[in-house]
Amino acid sequence: MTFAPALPTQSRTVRQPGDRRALSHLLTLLLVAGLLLTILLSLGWGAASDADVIGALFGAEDVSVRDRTIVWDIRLPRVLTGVTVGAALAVSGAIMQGLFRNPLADPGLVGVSAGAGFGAVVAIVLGGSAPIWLQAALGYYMVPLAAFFGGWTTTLLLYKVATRNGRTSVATMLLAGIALAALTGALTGILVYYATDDELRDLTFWGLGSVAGANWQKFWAAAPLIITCLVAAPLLARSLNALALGEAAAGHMGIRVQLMKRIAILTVACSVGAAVATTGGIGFVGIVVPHLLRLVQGPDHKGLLINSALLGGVMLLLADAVSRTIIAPAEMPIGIITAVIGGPFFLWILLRNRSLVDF
Amino acid sequence: MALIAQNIDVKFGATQILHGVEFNAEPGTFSAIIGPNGSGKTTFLRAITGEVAFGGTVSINGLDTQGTSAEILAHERAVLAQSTQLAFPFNVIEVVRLGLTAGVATGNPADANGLPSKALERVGLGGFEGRFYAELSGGEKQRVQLARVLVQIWLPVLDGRPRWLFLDEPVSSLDIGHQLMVMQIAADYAQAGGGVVAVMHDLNLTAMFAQNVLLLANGRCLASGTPADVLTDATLSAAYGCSLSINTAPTNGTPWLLPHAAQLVGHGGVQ
Repeated sequence: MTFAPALPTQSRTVRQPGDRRALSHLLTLLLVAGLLLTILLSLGWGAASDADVIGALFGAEDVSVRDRTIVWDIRLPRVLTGVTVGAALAVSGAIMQGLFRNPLADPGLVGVSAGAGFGAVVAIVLGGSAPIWLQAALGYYMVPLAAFFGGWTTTLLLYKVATRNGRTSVATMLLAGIALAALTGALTGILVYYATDDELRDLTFWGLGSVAGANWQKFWAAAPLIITCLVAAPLLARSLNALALGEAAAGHMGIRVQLMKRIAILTVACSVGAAVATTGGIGFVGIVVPHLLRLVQGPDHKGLLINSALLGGVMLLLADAVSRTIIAPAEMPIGIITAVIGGPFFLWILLRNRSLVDF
Repeated sequence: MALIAQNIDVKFGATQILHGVEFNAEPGTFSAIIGPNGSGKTTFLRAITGEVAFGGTVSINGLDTQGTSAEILAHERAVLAQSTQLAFPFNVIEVVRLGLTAGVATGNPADANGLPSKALERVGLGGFEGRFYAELSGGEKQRVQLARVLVQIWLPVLDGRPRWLFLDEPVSSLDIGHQLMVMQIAADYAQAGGGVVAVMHDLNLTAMFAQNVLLLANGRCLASGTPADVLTDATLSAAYGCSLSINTAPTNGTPWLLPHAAQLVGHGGVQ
């Protein structure tokens, strides 16, 4: 039998995005620069000049004590908290979307943040009745750890409910998320009755989401958890890419699917838990950031996870800048800003690129 | 070095899908699994590839698949599913590059970068690198997936070990030209020393390309052996519930199946 190897290929004119790896690297560089610039501007907002900020950071002699205090003790912890929390939320969004094989999975939308918030509230309200040795051992880590366990339990439950034979149903996932968020919300509400006035003030801030309460103490309680997750996240990239073809195909390609799913869920719970413990629930960062990046650089998780962390940091700092200037001298909770900007923007992305998100 | 499946039982809930199926395949051959709809062909392939829980044993190149990690099995075999649902807007070359995940395409990692484009050429999709996967036709998608699977185990024999291609209805959504192209790719892979096991619906293509045939019906092995042994009028008519006769194609002498429409059995037939 003879065989003609070259069958004619149709020539249809379509968009050819080409090799998007170079684009992803370029974007990483731009985002690093953007992040540094945003950090610098955030530190100098209003009071100190940029030169003073740099001076204060690097210990120059001619910077006033007032400026030094503003930069070091008030703004730097707030800015660093914003960057780490933004990065944590964006990266956990990207990981969850990869794990659920669905661009609508977001810690805020499917109840993971609510679960983490519940954990944090439990720690705040009931933490005082925990054994003294436990309180002493955990210290400031008690709230982030409780938030982590809350987020972890919710993610596990969600995955069990929404995924069957390796396939995640979007409808089940979103509905289960709503149910879990309602449940944890109700449990949180019950705890509020037991809260003292001081605890109540802390609790109010959970609902709104804010980086205003940031200080070094809170930052150091959350940062190690978040940074560990951010460093670990790129290791999941290869597996998440393979998982885009489904669990069975990923397994055939040599991915230990069950193990990587456990690591992914743990990473999400850890970073969302720490983020929520520090700033309360800030929505839409986890869904808008990876989405935007996918539109520009494609869905390859190798660049996506790193760039999500960077862009998440930038976005949260920008949202924070808006939140403290829009009704100055008062501050608007940052969760409101991210929702007001993120909600319509997300709808716009969906409407403009239906063919890309519709599958 | 062979594929040996012994006494394979598969149950979904209370329903037993496969009943003690035995199957051996040698490297260097193209094996076809045939049978009517619902006979358990795909389930059997899924048992071999470890996608479903099963009773019995499967060994590939001497490795018991149930006790071997995904990483190691990815060296030995690649699997093309009947259809693949891809999440996220990957483009074609990015999908094919996923075949490099296991990192065992060839003995030399430096070769890996060029392989995805080569594989696309091989399946007739050269120049499709930057196209969005979601915008391709069903047949094009199937060939992109084949290219990805080929990339995973690019060399049919590596370090003296044959590698195995498992294909579930690889030509089901293809036109006749591309059916032949894909069958030829699989046949070439076997010729070069690799093993090919494919679930097939098209009996004529099976007759043309396979050296080893397993015929399943109702979850049991009805016949197995060379095409000459299995593809007989009586066996096929019994398995598929219709009257078939085997002829020889006048042009090149390959077996050629002719269904007798007027004598359909058990399907209402043509009145």
